[in-house]
Amino acid sequence: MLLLSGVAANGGVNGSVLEWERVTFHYGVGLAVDDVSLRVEAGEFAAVLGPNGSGKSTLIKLALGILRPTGGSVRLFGQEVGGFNDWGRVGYVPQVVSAVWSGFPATVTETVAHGAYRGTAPLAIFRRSERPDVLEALEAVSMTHVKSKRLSELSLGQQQRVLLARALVRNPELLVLDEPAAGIDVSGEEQLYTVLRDLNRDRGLTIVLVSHDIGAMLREASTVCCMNCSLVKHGPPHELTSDELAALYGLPVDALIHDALHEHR
Amino acid sequence: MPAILQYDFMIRALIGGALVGILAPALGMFIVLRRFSLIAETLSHVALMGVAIGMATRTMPSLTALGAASVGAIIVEQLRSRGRLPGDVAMAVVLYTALAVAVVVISFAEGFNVDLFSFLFGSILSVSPLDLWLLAGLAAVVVVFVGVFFVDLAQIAFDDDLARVNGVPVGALNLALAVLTGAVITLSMRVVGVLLVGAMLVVPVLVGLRVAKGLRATFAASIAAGAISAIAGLVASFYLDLAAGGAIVLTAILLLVLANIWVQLRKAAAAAVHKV
Repeated sequence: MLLLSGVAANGGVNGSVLEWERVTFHYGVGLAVDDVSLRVEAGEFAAVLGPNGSGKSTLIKLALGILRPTGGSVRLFGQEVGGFNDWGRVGYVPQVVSAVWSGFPATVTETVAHGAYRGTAPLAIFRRSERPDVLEALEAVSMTHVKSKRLSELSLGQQQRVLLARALVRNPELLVLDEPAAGIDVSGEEQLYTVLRDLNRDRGLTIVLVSHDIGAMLREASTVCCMNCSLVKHGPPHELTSDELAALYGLPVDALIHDALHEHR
Repeated sequence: MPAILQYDFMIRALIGGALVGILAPALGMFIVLRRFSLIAETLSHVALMGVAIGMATRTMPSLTALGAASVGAIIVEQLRSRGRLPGDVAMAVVLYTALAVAVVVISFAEGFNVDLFSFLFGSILSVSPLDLWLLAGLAAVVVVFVGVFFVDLAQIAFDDDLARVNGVPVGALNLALAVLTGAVITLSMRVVGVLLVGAMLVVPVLVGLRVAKGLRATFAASIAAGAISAIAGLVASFYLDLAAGGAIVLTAILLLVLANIWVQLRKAAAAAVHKV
């Protein structure tokens, strides 16, 4: 089934796609995540907000099994993340990839094609990179015109869209993004959110997105999770008040939340 | 028949050199892309420690070096992957420990300085039939390893967190890559020498990165640059009476300079066409 077909968003046995249960994580002696319990349901667009060092990215890395919790448990599609093997159901877009700095030689097509593999890909060196599913994923993020370029030759916004295509080529049920709009200009950001909005609304893709962009998240997300080591607020965006945001960030935040902006929902 | 092919030792050196020229950048590409080039330097010094121990105990130095480099590779990878030490610090600790042990062993045992020199600087006279068989066996293992796991190794070099989420066994493949790198370094010592063997993992890959686009093209260009450097360097070494290792690595550097000039000329040509 290719990317542009519908996403069968099947949750785990308890109905949730992703669940943190009383999760704690320490970096050495520093507490990064403190007793967080949170569920993301199928079809949800969950935004994780919070100041720098509030544990947002750590929470994501715990969800993906990149870090192991010091306490509590994380479940993906109802399975403990430590024993989860069905990684084809999950797409991940990191904030930045190490390859960008090393002049990585892979073309955009190769980069996206690698996302299609689930587990090891024996003898994939002999497979063509330019395949219908790869081109379709690039088309979905409007990046077909740079398919032969190296990733390091692209702008930051273009790189993020290629990484999004790399995640989408797997036809995932859950898409996890860590500050995908960081360093992108307004038009690039709007293009990115348009793609995500369509995927969530039209294809039923479950999205978990870490961001500093409060305005965009209040506009785009169906649920916001405010982190400050612990989970300080969880609910629909319209329930989040300016006072709560000010307390979270430690300074006045004037967030315009207007129903008209949620028309697409 | 050219004079160079009339000597058995030279034929062995050329075959060995070609294998080294192909094997070193085949693994080196994934090391350079991970910004992990210092591991070549570290493991070559660990292999030197193995050579010193082998000579002092009158065991086969190639085998003791192979064992030492494999253990060194595992230690570096464990220290790095478990986050006990940053990657560069882990390598520095292992490098200086191995070098110190080598110096102490050498100072205890006397009488093998000439042999040791051939390991330090490489010697076309010293490539034995056993070295060639070991290199050929290793080449078979590396070809299978890289052929089967090429995309997985590329994914790890691209971003190891992304590779993990793709289900790639990052830890196991990193360990295998480190151990095979140790083996390639050890068996390349006879031709290139301990002091310069690291260059063969890095410089041909830099040539490939300059002239090619795409993973497979870069890989092919890197091993071509490695093989050309090794053979041209050995030929120069034979006719000009130069140290084999130095001649091979200087040839690789020359290719890198030529690759840079070619890239600049192409840019200038493209700019001229754009102006018109």
